[in-house]
Amino acid sequence: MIIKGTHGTCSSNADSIRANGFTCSKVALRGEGVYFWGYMSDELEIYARDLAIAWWRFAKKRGDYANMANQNCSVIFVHLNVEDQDILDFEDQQIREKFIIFYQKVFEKFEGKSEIEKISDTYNRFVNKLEKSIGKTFSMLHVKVQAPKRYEKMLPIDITGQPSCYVVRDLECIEINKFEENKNE
Amino acid sequence: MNNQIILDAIDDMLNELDLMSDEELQAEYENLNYGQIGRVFIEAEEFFAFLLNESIEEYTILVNNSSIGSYIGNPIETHGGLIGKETLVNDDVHKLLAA
Repeated sequence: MIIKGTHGTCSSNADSIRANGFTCSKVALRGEGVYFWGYMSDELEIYARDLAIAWWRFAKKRGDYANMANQNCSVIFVHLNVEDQDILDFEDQQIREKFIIFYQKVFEKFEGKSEIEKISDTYNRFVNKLEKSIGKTFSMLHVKVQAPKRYEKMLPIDITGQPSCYVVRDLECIEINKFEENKNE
Repeated sequence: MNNQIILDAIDDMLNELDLMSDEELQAEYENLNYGQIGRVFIEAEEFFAFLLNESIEEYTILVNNSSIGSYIGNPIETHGGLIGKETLVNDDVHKLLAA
């Protein structure tokens, strides 16, 4: 199946991705991977695009692009080619609850490193151990994450829950469709 | 894959955790993040600036950690200049190539 996704970043990073492809973030809140706002219907592309732009605003304010030559906002649109069984769905109620139990058992016992590194490592550890146990790898994770603060909601009342995010661990899944630079941002 | 297989495997992981001491847990955690100690070879002539005039031909560092992993295949810059790309020779050895 094909899942569609958007990735917001600065234009310098987008140029690098255009030339060399994506590289995995090593430390992130849901572990190692490349992060995309996911959608299936073309009608919701604008929703995923706005999330990517909101992420760029957040990252820019945080200073992530401070050393970049071109800090303009770029959104990269991709198709993620994946089979259903190659997605580890953290929104599955049972998997989600078991991960919470795993997290509680290990997190406070990890010494050293920053909070975000510990969280990232906990996700990596969970997925890596699971992959080893069942003898297969997962191409991507599905998680629901909080929308960036500056994201303007589609609906006046948030009845749709948190947006879907795909954490791609197998970069072969990613097919880049287009780059869009937003100079007005 | 049947979801039940995944759930059973997670249950096994959780049971295994209960049997591990804090020290074993920490040791496994360290091993997961850093892997074995490996070597990074740096060709001193080509990376003179990088070496800051030190006559070091070989660094021994931890591989598979985030600091070194993020450099693989990416240009390495320091002191405002492009130094080179790190490539993976094998699981234990990384090598810097001239830019």
